[in-house]
Amino acid sequence: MSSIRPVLAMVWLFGLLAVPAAVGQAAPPEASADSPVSFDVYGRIEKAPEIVEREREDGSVSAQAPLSIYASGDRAIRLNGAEARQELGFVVSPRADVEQVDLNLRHITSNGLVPDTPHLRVSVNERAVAQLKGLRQPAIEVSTVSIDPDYIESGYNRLWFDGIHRYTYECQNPQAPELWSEIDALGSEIDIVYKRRPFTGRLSELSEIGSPGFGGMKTLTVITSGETPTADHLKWGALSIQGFVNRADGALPEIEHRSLSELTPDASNSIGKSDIVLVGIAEDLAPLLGSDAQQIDDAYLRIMPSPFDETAFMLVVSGTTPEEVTRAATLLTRLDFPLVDDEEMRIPNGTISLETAPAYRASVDAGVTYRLRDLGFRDITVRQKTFETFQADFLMPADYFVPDGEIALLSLDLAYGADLREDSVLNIFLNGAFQQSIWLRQPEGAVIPGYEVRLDARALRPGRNTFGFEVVLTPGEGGQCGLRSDRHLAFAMKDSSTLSIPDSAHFAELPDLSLLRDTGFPFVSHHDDLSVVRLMDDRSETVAAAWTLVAKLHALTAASPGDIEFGYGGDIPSDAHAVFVGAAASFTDSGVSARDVQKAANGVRIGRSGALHAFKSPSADDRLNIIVTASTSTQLLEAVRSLTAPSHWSQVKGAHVEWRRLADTVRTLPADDMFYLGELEPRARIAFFNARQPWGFVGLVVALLLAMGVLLTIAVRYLRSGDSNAS
Amino acid sequence: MTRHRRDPALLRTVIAFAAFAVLVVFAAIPTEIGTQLALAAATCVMLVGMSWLRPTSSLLRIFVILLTVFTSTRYMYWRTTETLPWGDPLGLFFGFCLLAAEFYGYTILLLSTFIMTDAPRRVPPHPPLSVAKCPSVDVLIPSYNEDPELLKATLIAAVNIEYPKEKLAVYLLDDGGTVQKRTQADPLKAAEARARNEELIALCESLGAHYLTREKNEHAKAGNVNSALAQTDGELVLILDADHIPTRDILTRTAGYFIADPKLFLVQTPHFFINADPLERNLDTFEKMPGENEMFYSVMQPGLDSFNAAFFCGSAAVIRRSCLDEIGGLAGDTITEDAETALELHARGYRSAYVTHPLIAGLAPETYTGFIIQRMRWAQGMAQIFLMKNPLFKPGLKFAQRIGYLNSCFFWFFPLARIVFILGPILFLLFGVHILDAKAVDFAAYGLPHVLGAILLSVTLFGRVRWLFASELYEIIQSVHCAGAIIQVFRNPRAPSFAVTPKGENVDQDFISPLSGSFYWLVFGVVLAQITGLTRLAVDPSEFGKISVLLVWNTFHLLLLLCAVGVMFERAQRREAPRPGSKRRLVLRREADLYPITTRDISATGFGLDAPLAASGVYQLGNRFTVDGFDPIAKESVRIPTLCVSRRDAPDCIKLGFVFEPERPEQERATVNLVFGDSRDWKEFRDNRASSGGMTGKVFFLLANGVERAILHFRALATGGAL
Repeated sequence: MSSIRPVLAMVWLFGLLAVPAAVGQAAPPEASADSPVSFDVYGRIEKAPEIVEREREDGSVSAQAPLSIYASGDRAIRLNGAEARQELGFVVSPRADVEQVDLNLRHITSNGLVPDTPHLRVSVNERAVAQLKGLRQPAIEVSTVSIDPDYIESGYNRLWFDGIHRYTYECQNPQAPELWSEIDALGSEIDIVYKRRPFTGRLSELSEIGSPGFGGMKTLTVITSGETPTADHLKWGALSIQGFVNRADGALPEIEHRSLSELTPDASNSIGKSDIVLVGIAEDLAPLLGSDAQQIDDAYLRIMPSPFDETAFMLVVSGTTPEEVTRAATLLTRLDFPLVDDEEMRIPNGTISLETAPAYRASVDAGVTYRLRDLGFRDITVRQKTFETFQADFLMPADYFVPDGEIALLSLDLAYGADLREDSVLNIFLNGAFQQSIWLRQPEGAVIPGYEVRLDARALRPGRNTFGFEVVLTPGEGGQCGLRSDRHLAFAMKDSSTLSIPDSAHFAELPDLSLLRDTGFPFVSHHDDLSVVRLMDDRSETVAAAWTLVAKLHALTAASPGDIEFGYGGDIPSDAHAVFVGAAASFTDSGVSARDVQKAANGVRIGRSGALHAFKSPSADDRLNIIVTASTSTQLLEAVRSLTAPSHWSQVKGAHVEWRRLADTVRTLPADDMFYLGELEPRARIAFFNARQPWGFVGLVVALLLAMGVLLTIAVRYLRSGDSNAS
Repeated sequence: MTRHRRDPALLRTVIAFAAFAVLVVFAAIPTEIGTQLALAAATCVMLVGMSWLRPTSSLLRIFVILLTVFTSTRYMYWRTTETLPWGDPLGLFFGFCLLAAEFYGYTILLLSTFIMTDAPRRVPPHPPLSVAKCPSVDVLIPSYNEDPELLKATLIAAVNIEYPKEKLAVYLLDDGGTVQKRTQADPLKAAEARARNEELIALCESLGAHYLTREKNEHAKAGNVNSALAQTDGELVLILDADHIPTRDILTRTAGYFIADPKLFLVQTPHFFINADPLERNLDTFEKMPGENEMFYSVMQPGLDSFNAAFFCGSAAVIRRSCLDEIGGLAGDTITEDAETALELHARGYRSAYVTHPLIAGLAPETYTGFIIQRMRWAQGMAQIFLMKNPLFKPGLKFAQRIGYLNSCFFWFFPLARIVFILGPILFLLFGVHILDAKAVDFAAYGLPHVLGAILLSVTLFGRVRWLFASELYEIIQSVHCAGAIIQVFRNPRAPSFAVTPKGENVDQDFISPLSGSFYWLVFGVVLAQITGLTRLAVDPSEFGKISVLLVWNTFHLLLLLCAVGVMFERAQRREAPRPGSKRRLVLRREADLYPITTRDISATGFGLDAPLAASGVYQLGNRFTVDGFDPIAKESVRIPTLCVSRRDAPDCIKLGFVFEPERPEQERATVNLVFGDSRDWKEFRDNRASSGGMTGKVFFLLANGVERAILHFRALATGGAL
C-alpha cells in the first residue's frame, strides 16, 4: 500500500497541473483587445506575426512580412547537419509591380564551425542571392540581403535557406551536433515594396486576379442592389465569393457587404481599395453601372476597374431575371468551366446546369480502390539524396464509419537502387503517425510492384488525410570518410500505387464541430440533406459574417454553396440543418431554441468576442443547428473573421466554441446531448454504443451472468430437492 | 389426481441448453477492441479473484462457470469470424485445421461442463435383506497371458468376497490355455499353453475357484466372457480383469442396486491402481499427484451417472446376466466391447449406476509401450463407436445420454487436436504460414481471458483430482502414437484388433523407451521454431505481436514436450509387487512380545516400516515375526510369518523391509485379505492424493521433474544409453 502512495501523489499533482490546460479558461490577461500579441506558456507577451503594410507617398506599398508567417508559425528556422535546407514560399500577385525586395535576416551559427567560410546560402526561385557567414559570437547577426526584383515572379515564389556546415576540412561526421545554423523567423522578415497597377484583367484571369499575397486581393466587398439584401442577394453573394475563394485555394479575403442604396458619392472612402463584386438584377444596378446596365440582356459577368479605385476591380454578376443572376453566379463556382478571355461574357440558358457541382476536392468513396494519381499524387523519384520526404493527400468523408479492425490497404509500386546500406528504409506515416517501414535492403536493388501496407482504417480521419513518405537512402560502401559515390542512391514510387478504402456506413455522432472544421459537415456535401443559413438581421456586418462563414465551410473541399438556402429569421424547415447568424440581441423571440441561444449568448456576455454553439434541432432528431453570435454585428464580423483564421479554426471542436481575437483564447466544450446522423447496421450500431460505455457493457455482462447464476442456483436447488424427495 | 414425477436429467439438460443459448447470444455481441479489452481485464480480475477466494457457494461457482463459458464462446466466435486468413490459401487450410482443433477443445469444455457441473450424488444402495433375496453372482476373471502368481492374488481375493457362499462362484476364464493354444503348430508354445492350463486348473482347485477355457480364441476378451456366460448361470456377473484384485465388500456395495432397480443392467466401480503408470513413475508423482484415471472415475463417471450414462469400463463392474443375454453377451463390433455393450443396453432403456468407492486394486501399465498399447486400443475403440455406432444417432438413447456418450467418444480425438496445436506455431514461426490473422492486442482481448478461464475452470471442476497441465502432459505423451491409430480407424473402422495390455512388467534398469523417436522430431521442430521466432522477433518488428504470442504458445509446447521426453526415459522398477504408500496399523509378534506398528507401505509380498531408533535392537536383519491377520473363509485370526530382509539406519528412524512368508493356504488368504481386503484403505489412499491447493507449486514440481528427466534422457542418448 505504501508503494502506491507516491503514484497517487503524482497523479494528483499532475491532475492539478493539468486542470488549467484542460479547461482552457485560465488564459493570461491580454494586453489589449486589438493588439496583435499572444502569450507564451510563461504568460510573457510576444508579438504575433503579421504582415504590416504601409502606403508610401508615391503610392507604392511597403510590406514587412515576418518569415514565421511562411514557416508554419515556427519561431526559428533550424538548419542542422552538414547540409540542410529549408524552403519557404510567398505569393506575389500579378497585379503588383515589385520595386524592391530586401530580406532582413537575424541568424546565428554554431561556434564549432570552421571560421571565415559562408555557412548560409540564400536562394530565390533557384537562384542564389547571398552567402552569409554566421556570427560565431553569442550575439545574433543581422544581415540584409537585397534581392533583384526581377528574380521575383508573379504567383508562388520559393525562398531557400541552405546551411553548409563544416567543423573541419578533414573527415567530419555529417550529423555532428556542432553543425547548425538558426534563423530567427520572428525577427527576420521580407521587406517588399510594390505598386499595384491600374486594373486591366480579363475574366479568364480570375484566378490570378483574385490571388492573395503581396499586392493581391485583401478585401472583397459585395455590393448588392436595393436597400437590404434579399435571400437571392445573399445566395448570389455567397456563390460569387466562393468563386474567388476556391480559386485561391481556400484563402479568405476580408469580406464586406454594402447595399447599393447606401453608397454615397464619397463611398470611395468606405470601400477604398477593396475589390468589388456587384450583384443584382441588371436594372437595379444602374445607379453604379449607369447606361451599361442596359446592355445586360442575359446572365452576365463583367470585370472592370473599380469605380472607387483604379487598381481594384469590380466584377459584375447580373442578369435580367433572378434565374439569370443565379446562373452567372453559379458559373463562377465552376472551376472547370473556362471563362472567356475577355472582360465580359454572357451565359445563355443551358450553358451550365444549375445543379450543384460536386466539390472540387472531393472525398474518396468507401469501398473503392484508388490509384494515387487519382488522388493528385505523381511519380516520385529520389536521386543522389540520402533523405527525402513527400506526401499524398486525400479527403475522407466526414461521416465515414468503419467497424473496429477494418483494414485500409496501401499497395505501393516501388523501385530502389543497388548497393544501399542495410539501414535504408522507406518510412510511412499517416497523418503524422508512423505506420510501417519498408526495408530497402536488396544489395542488387529491387523493383517491388504492389508492396502491401495494411493500415487500421480507423486511423483515417474525416477530412484531409496525409500519407507521409520518408525515404532514407544510405550508401553501402566507403564508410564515413572513404571515397564514395552517391549516384547509385535512387528511389522511385509510382503513382500507379493504390489505396483501397474499406466499405463503410455513413454515420456520424453530432454535434461534433471537428467535423465542421475539417469538412464543413453536415452543411457541405452531405447527400441530399437540406441546409439553410439564417441571418437574424440585415445589417451589412451580419451579412458579411454569414458569407465569411459559408465561404470557409465550402473552401475546405472547394465546394459550391449552391444548395444552401439563405434567409432571415428563425423559422426553418423541420428537416434542415441550419446556421443562425446574428448579434446576440437579435435572437430575441426569433424562434430559435431559447435554451441554446442562452448558451451561446452566455459566451459573449462573459467577455468572449464570439460564440459558436451547435445543438440538436428541436424539430428533428437528426438535424444539426448552429448559432454564431457576438455582442454586436460589428463584433460578430470581427469574431467570424478571427474564427475562420487558421489559428482559431484548427482549434474548433466539441459542440461549443468561444473565442476572442487571439488564438490562445479559444475555449471549447463538449455537447450535452448527442445525436446520430446516418445509419449503421445493427451489429455495428451495438458495437458503437458499447464503445461509448465500455465499462457499462462490462457491467451489463457481469449482471447478466450473475442473474443467470442466481436462476441456475435456484434451479439446482430445485433439482436437488427433487432428488432427495425421490430417494 | 396423478402427480407426474419430474425427470431431473431432462430438466438439467433443458436448463443447461437454455443457459448456453443465452450465453451464445451475448457472446456474439459485437464490441470494439477497447470495450473488449475492458471486458477482458474485468474477466481476468474476476477469474483470478475467484481462484484466490475459492468460493464454495453454489452461486459463485456457477458464476465462474458461466463466465468461463461466456468468455470461451466469445473467443471462438471471434476466432471464427475475424481471424481466418482468407487471403492466403495455404494459411487458410492450416488456419481451418487450427480452428477445428480449437473447436474440439471448446466442445470438450462445453460437454465436460455440462456433464460434471453439480452432478447429484448417488444414494448408497440398500444391502440385500437376506441370503434368500441375494441374487447369485458369478465372478468372471478373463485371463490371456498373465502370470499365475498375479492371478493367484486375484482369485484369492475373489473367493474372499463377502457374499453368501452358495450364491457366489468364481471363474477363471483362461484364454491362454484354450484347445487352440494347446494344440498350436509351434510345439514349444503348445507345451507352454498345456503347462499353463494344468497349473491354473490346480490353482483354481486349491483356491475353490472354477477354471474355464474354450476351444478357440475368438473375439478376444468379449468372446472369452461370452463363452463363460454360456457355461454359467449366476443372475449377476462380476467381471474382473486378471490384475484387478477385489476388496471384500465389492458385492455388498453393488448388488443391492440390482434388487432396488429391476431395470438396472450395470453397476460400475472405479479402477484404482496401486502402482505408478509410466508418467507417475518416471516423473516421480505417484502418491503425490492423483492418478490419470481419477478425473474420469471421480468426476466424469458420476456426472455421466447423473444422466444415466455411466458406462461399462471392462472390469470392476457388476452386470445383470439377463441383460447381457438379451443382446447376446458382450458386444464385439468394436475393440472397446465394454462401452459398446453399455451403449447397446442404454439404448434398450436399461439403466446403469456408478459407485465412486474404489472396490478393486489394479495395475497400470508399467512401461510407456504398455501404456500406449492400452491407450491406442481405447482411442481406436471409441473412435469406432463414434463412426459405427454414433451415439447422436443411436435409436433409443435419451438426449443427455447422447451427450454423455458423445463426450466419451469425442474426447479420444484429442491426439489430432494436440498435434495441430503443436504444429500451428511451428508453421508460422518456421515457415511463415499465416495460420491466423490477428494482432497481439486481439489475443490479449479475446485469447487471454479464454485461456485463463479454461485453466481456472479446470481447477474448479477437476482441481482435486487433476493437477494443472497434467492433462496436457498426458495428452501429449499419447498423441503422437494415438493420432496414427485414430487415422487408421478413419480409413477402415473395422481394421483395429484387440491388443492385450501388458501388466506386471518388471523394469530392472533405466532405459529409453523405443517409442521416443517421434518426440525427438517434435522437440527438434519446436526448438527450431523457437530459435527462428526469437530471431524474427529481433529483426522483424512488424509482426512483433503475433510472433510474441506464438512464441509463448510454442514455449508451452516445448516444456510439455520436454516433460514428455522425460517420461520416455523409463525409471527402473525392481520391486516385484507394487507397494502403494498405504499406512496400516498392524501388530508384530516376536515370541511373546507384541509391537504395534504402522506400515510405511504394503504389498502382497511384504511391507515397509519406519521404526523408532529406540527399537533398534528388536529389528535386526533376519529376525522373524508374525503379523496378526484374518482368514475370511474360516472367519478366524491367522498369524502370517514375516521376515525382516532389509534395514537402513536413517537420522530419525530405522527403515526396515519385511516380506510375508505364508506357509499355509489360510495364511495366503489372510495376506491377500490384509493387503487388498479393505476398500477403505484404497479410498483413504486416493483421498490423500486429492487436493486442489498449491497448484503453482505442483506445476513447477511437474515441470522441474520433467525437464530433469529430459536432460537425463538426452544425456543417456548421447552416451549410448549409459549414464
